Amino acid sequence: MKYDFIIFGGTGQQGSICARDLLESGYSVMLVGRDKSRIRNLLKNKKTGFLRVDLRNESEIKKAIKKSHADIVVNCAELVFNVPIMKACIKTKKSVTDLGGLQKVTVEQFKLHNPFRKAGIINVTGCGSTPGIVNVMAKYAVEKFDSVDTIMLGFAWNSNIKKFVVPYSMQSIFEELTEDPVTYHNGNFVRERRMTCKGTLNFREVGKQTVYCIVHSEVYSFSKYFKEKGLKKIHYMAGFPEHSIRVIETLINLGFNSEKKIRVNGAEIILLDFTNKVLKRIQVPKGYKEAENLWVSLYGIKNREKAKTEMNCIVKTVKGWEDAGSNVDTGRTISIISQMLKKGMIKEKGVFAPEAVIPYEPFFKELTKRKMYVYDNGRKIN
Amino acid sequence: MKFVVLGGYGIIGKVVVFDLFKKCKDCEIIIAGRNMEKAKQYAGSFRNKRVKYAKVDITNIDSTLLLLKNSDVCVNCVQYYFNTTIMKACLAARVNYIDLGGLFHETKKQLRLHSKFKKINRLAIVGCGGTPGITNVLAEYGASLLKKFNSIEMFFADKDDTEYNQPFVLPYSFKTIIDEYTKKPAVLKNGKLVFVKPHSGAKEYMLKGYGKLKGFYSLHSELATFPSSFRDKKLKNCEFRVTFKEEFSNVMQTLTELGFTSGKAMEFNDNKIPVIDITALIMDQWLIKPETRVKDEELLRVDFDRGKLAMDAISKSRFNIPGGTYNVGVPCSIASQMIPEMNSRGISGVLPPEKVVKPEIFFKELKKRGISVLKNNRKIN
Repeated sequence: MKYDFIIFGGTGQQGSICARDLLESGYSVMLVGRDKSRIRNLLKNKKTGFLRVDLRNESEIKKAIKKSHADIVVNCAELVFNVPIMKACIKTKKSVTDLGGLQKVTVEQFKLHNPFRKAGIINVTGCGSTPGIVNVMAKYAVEKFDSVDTIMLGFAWNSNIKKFVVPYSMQSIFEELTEDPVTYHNGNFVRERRMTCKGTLNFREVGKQTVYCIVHSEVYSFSKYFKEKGLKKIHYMAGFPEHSIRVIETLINLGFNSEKKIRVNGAEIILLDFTNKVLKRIQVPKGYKEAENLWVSLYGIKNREKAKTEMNCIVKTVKGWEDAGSNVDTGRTISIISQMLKKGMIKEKGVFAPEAVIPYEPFFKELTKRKMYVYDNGRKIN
Repeated sequence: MKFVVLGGYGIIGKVVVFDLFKKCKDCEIIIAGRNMEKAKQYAGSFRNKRVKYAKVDITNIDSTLLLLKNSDVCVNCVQYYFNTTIMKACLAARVNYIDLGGLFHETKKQLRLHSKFKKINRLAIVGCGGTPGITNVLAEYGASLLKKFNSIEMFFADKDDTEYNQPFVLPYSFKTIIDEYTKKPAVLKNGKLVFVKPHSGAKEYMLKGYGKLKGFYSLHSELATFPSSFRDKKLKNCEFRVTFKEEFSNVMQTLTELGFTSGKAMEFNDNKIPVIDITALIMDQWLIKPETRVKDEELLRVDFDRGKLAMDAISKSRFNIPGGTYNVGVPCSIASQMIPEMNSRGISGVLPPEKVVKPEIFFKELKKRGISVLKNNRKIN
C-alpha cells in the first residue's frame, strides 16, 4: 500500500498525536516505532500501517521510507536521529519535517542545506509548538518592525490538577535542563550557567511563573534569519509549574537522567531508558486540563519609535484530545506543516526553520481549526 | 570464649567484631560469610591471631553447623530473612545465638523455637541491636519504675552535621527504607495487635537540635514481644515510628508517586526485572561514601503514657561510624558477651532483650562506649 506520510517516532507522544491529526485530515499514515502496543487504537484504522525499525541503523530507515512509498517524511523521533533520517531522505529524495534539534543538532542539520537543495527536497526543522508556532509568530511580528534589537521567547504552562504527568519527551527535558543554556549577544552565542539566567513573569492563562534560560534551536535560527533587522540579543526561556519542575529536578539530582549502562540479572539497561519506561506508565488523571502560553516578545523600532510587541499563542486541553493536554500544539502543528509540504504550498529547497518558509496566514488559519489562538499585543488575530 | 560473627564484614558486622575485639580480650572471633575475600581482608586488618575468618553458606544448615561446632555464641549480622534457618543450625550445633531483629514476622517465627532451645540449655536473644535492642532494654528499665502503664510510643531520630560532598544522602540501603515505607506496620491498639496502612500514623516532632521531623508508623519487632512482655503492667497501646527529614520524605514520596518503587516487573530485552530493583541500584549510589567524615547522632526514644516517662539513648558518631550504625553493633556485642553468664544462671530459650538483659549493667557498658542513656532528659549512666 502507498501511504501519504511516514512518521518516525510514530509510537511516541508527539508521533501518535500527529498521526491522529493526519488521519482526521483524510490521509494515510505509516507509523514507525518500537512499541506497537502503545498505539493499538490508532492501528485499528485501516489507513495506518506499522513498521518496527531500529533507527540506529540508517539503511533500515531508508528501507522503511521506500516501503511506505510516502511523499513526506515526518520525524517525531528523538533529536539524535534527525541527521540519520535526513541522510536517508536525501537518498530517497523525500522532503522531511521534524521537531527541532536544540542548538547542537540544528547546526548539523543546516550543514545539509546544499545536499537537500541538490536533491530537490526540503527539510523544515522545528515544526512543533516551540520551535514551530513561535517561529512563525516571530516572523509575523518582525515584518512590522523597522529594526529589532531584542527577542525574548519561550513557553509557560500549568495544569488544573497539580499532579506530575510527562510534559513532553523526558529525554529532551533532561537535555534542556542539564545542558548549559545558550543566549545570543551582539553577534555571539554565549554559554550561560545553568539555572542562573532566570526571571519571574506573569502569563496570560497560566499565571505567575519562574522561567529559566535553556538551550533551544530558535536562538540559532532567529540569529540567522533576522540578522538584517539588526537583532542583537535573544533569550529563550522555559517555564514549568512548580509541581512539575520539582519532580524533574529531583530526578536529575538523583541521576535518573543518566545515560550510564547497568547490568541487572543479565540484562543491560540504560538508566534513562528505564526512567522513560517507568514515567510512560503515568496516567493522565481524570479531569486534568492544561493551558500553555507560547510567547515571543520583540523590542525594536517601529515607525521610527521605540516599540514592543508581544505575540502569544494560547493552547488549552481540547475536548476529545484530553490525554494529549497542551501537547496538541506540537504533534498537531507538525501535521499542519507536513500537510503544507504535501500540498506543494512550500516551494523552497534546502534546510530551513519555519520562519523562513511557512506562510503565516494559512498557517494561523489551520491553528484556529485546532483551537490554538494567536494574539498580537493581546488582540486575537486568528 | 569463641564467637562466630556471620556477616562480620558487613556494615553492622564490622562494628560488632570491632567492639568484641576491643572489649573482650580473651575472646576468639571468627568472621564468616559467603564472601571469603571480604572476610579475610577484614580479619587481616586486626593483625591478631584471635581474629579468624571462614567461608559459609548460611542458606545451607549443614554448612553453618560445621562452622559453628565448638563455638559459644553465634552472632547473626546478615539480612534478617535467614534468622530462623541460622537458628536451626545453632540448635544442631548446640550453640547460643543472638541477632539484630527479624522485622516482626521473622521474629514471630523465631520465638516458636523457644522450647527447642530450652531443651538443649542454650539461649537465643532475638533483636539486640539499636532498635530493636536498646529500645527493649530502655522499655524494661522504664517499666520497672512504673506500677502500670497504658502506652509505649517509640521513635528514632537523626541529627546530621556531616558535610557531604554529594547532592543526596541515603542513610541506609534503599530496599530497607522501602520496607519501612511499604510493609504494613503492626500497632497495639486497645490491647489488640492490628496491622495498619503503610506510611500511616503521621506525626511531627520538634526536637531541640534535630529540627522538624516527620514520623510515621513502621513495622518493627518490638511490637512482636512488648505486648506479652509488659502484659502484667497493663500495656494496651504501643506504636513505633521512623522519622525522616522533610526533604528526604518528599523525595521518597515523589519516587513512589512516579512508580519507581513498584515491585512489578518490567521487561528489558526479554528479561523481567522488578522496577524497585533498578531504582535501588540508582539510589544506592547515594549511600554515605567511605571517605566522608561523619558527624551525626541518633536518638532512640521510648515514651511511657505520653510523656509521663521518657527514656532516651543518644549515640554520636565515633571512629567515623555513623551514630545510627554504631548503636546497632555495640549493644549486640555487649549482650553477646553476657550470654555465658546468663547460661550459668540457667537462662535458656528464645527470648527478647527485655526478658534477659539487666538494664543497669547494660547501661554501664553503653556508657563505656560513649552512648548515653537519659531518663526524662537527665543522664543516668
